[in-house]
Amino acid sequence: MRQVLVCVAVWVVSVASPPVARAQRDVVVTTLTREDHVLVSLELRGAYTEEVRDTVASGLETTFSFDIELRQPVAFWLDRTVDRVSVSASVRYDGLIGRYRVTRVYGRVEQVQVVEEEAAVRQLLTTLERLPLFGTRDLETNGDYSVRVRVDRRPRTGWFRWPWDRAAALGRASFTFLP
Amino acid sequence: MTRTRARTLRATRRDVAEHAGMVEQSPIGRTPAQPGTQRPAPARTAPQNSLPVVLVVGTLLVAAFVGLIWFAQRSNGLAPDLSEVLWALSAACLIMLLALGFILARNVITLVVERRRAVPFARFRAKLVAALVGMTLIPSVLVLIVGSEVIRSSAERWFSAPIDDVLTSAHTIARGVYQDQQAALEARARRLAVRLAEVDLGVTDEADIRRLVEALEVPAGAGVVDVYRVGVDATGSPTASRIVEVPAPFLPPGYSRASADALAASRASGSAETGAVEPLDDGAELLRAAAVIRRTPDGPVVGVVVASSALSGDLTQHTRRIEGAYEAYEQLRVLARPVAAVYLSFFLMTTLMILIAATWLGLYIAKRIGRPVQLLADGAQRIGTGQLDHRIEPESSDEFGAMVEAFNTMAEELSASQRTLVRSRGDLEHKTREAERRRRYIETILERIATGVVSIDAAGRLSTVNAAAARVLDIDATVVGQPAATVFERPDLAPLGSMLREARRGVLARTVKEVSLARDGRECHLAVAATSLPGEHELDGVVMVFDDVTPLFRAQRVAAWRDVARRLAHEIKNPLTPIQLCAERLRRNLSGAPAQAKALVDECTATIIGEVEALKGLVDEFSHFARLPSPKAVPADLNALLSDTLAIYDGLFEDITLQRAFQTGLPLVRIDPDQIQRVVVNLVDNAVAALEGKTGLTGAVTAQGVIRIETQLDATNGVARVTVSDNGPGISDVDREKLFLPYFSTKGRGSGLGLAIVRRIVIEHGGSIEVTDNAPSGTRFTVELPCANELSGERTGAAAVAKGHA
Repeated sequence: MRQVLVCVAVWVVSVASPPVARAQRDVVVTTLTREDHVLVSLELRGAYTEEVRDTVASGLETTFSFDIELRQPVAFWLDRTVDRVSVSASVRYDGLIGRYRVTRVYGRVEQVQVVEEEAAVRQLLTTLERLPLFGTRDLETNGDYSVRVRVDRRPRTGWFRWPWDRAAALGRASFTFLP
Repeated sequence: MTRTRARTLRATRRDVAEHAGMVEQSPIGRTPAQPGTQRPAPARTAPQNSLPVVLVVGTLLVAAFVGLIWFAQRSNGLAPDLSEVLWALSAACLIMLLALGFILARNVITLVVERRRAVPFARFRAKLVAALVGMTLIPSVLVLIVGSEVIRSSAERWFSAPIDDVLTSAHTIARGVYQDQQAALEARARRLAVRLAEVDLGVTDEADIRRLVEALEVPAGAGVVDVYRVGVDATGSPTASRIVEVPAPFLPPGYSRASADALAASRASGSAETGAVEPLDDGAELLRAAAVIRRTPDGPVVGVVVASSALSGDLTQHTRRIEGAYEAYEQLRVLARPVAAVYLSFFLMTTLMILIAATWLGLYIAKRIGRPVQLLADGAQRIGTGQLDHRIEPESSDEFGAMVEAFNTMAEELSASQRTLVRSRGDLEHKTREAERRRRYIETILERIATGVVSIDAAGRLSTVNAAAARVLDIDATVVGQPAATVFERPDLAPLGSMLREARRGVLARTVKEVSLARDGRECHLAVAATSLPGEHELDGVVMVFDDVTPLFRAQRVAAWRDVARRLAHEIKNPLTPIQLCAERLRRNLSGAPAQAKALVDECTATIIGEVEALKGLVDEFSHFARLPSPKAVPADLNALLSDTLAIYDGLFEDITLQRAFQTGLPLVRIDPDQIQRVVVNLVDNAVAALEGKTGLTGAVTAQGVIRIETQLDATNGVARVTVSDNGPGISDVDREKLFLPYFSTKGRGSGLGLAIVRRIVIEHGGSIEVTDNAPSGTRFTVELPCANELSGERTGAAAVAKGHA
């Protein structure tokens, strides 16, 4: 009886863990402090898969949502969330005229771009360059901070979704704030 | 209703039990006495097993099932992004799966634990639960597998090759229309840009430019040409400002310049975007194409020309419809897996709901069936362990309730029987204890009495030999169990053996005889009575009772001798005086006779008178023995008395030595000094007589006689012991037995009353006397006299009596 329970537990962990483990290494996050902002750059590697390409080509609006949190580590406890920003990049393909309409929204800023090359679409969807997402006014000098990124993609086209599998990819970068 | 009936029944039974007095004793002390039969408080039913809860949960499950069907029917209208729906369904399925697993695991663990603990009915309950769950689980899983396969294969059939071909072709055609239009517009825009590069847009008049455009490209149909001049604003960013707009004769409704301006600005800023589509009010669309104007091929962008052309509403609608159908088809292909997953999730959820409901219902039914039987099994086990007051509370009025009532009735009767049994057992134990007490009483009496008791069983084996019998017969108590014939085949016990044989033969029911046995050279007289014990069919055994009547026998002989002595003294003494007087008269009257005659007369009369005197002395002895006075005991110093008595022997004997060994500190003894003095003199005289050249049995002559007189205190028995021993020839065993009898003498002369008188004096003093061989030779007389103090006196008296009897 005990052996059966152990086997079931191992199976559940082995089934549930790979998405999380895989997601942890798919987002490359870099931070840079300039003037009064923390500039965040991220690259979502391997996210523009054939499946995403088919989804975009079908005319479905495909969105990559980036939930970016600025965190401050707390000893022997959970990190404290200093600020949180949501960034999204959506694309909709017009099959008649063969153009992609890419919309990127972060904060109150919305950028709309119409492109015809798929490579440009991949770039716009999976890469964010030096976005001034967080202010440095409330940051402590020489304080250690981290930026955690959770990426979700819609629509999902898999057979099943684990209830706890809320993020398609995860990324994290730490830095010490030096004004 | 059921509980009210049970309470009434319980009260009635309690009243009946109290009136019948059946509740006073508890069965074997296992359960304390309680006022009447008690039933346990009804076990609290688990909430999940109560009927209202079952109904409510069942209703909720049905409602959830209906809602699931309703939701599934409307799943076609769900948004294309099924992530949230799929997430919700997955979560719901997992929760239900966990719930099902929890229910199953909990019950499996419970059943396993119950089986390991050997809980009654656990095996049957496990089988029942397994059967019910299996009956639900197996078909449901099979239906789930088949249904899932059907859904999956149905999803694959959504995408057939003909439809795929048709939609792809239609999409290609529609897209070709747009691309052709777009390509034509872009070509027009580029031609205009080339021609407009020949003029300086910064300085050329607007009318000239308009004429140039109109000359080159007269818009045909619903078309517009916009020319923009590119400049730089304050920040250095390029700007595009419209110079000329050459519209078609009639513009389509809903036309706006905004998209043209945006496209021109985008091109001016270096964007690669060359076209745009702008929807119009009547469903038509306006296609735009932009081209930059450079004065030289590598020169800066000085202007932008945007050419626009409207597609008719019908064409636009048809192409858009084709595109919509194609996109829907492609989107369905992309979302085929999540859509199928949604359907599968619906199906799985329905199956899980059915499984949970069926499993729960199965467990509920198993409990409903199993609980009464389990209660009965548990009750039977408790009854088996002696808890006869245990009752089961009926929970239903059906057949199980009747079974419970029957069980309670059985337990009640068992309890009553047990109480009766306990009472009987108590009575039996009481009687057993009484019988045991009587047995011990009789055994104690048997062991204490001086009467010997021997019994043999029907098999002829000794079953009882009391202490007196063992002592008198000189046998060991270990002979019990041995055949009586073996034990009594000893020569000295042969008379008793013959009596036992006669009694066993049943010749006489009771045989009484006087038997003499030789014991240590002495004759032991027994009065024996052998009685057969008749049984139902044959003889149960024989009991033989005997008393040692030797002391009585001796006393009778002594009494007889005393009577003879008294008569003899009376009869002899009377004629002696006339004889003596006659003899003296003859001598006196014949004093004048001749000398010869006178000498004869004197000699004869002297002889007569001397013998008469001797006879008188003998008669006096006899008389004294017969009429010995009672001793006048006073506390006296025994050592001093002995010293005074022995003083008369000083210097009398040359070859005999009198040794004195008196223990100092001897307490006073209650004695008649004259009589004790006579005892000592008698014993010493006997010793002297034995030492005066007499030969004993061995024929040895005593060379140097030694008479040793000792005193000793026996503090334990409270007696003073006087020992007179000599180293003479000793006394034979036969003579020793008769030594204290009157008129027995080994000296050939004397009356033979000396030791008889000695023994009588000692006994009348409460003491004892015994004779033993002296080491290495001779005889040893030991006299024990009680000390003067009260305690010693009591002890000594008891010891003397015992020894006297012995």
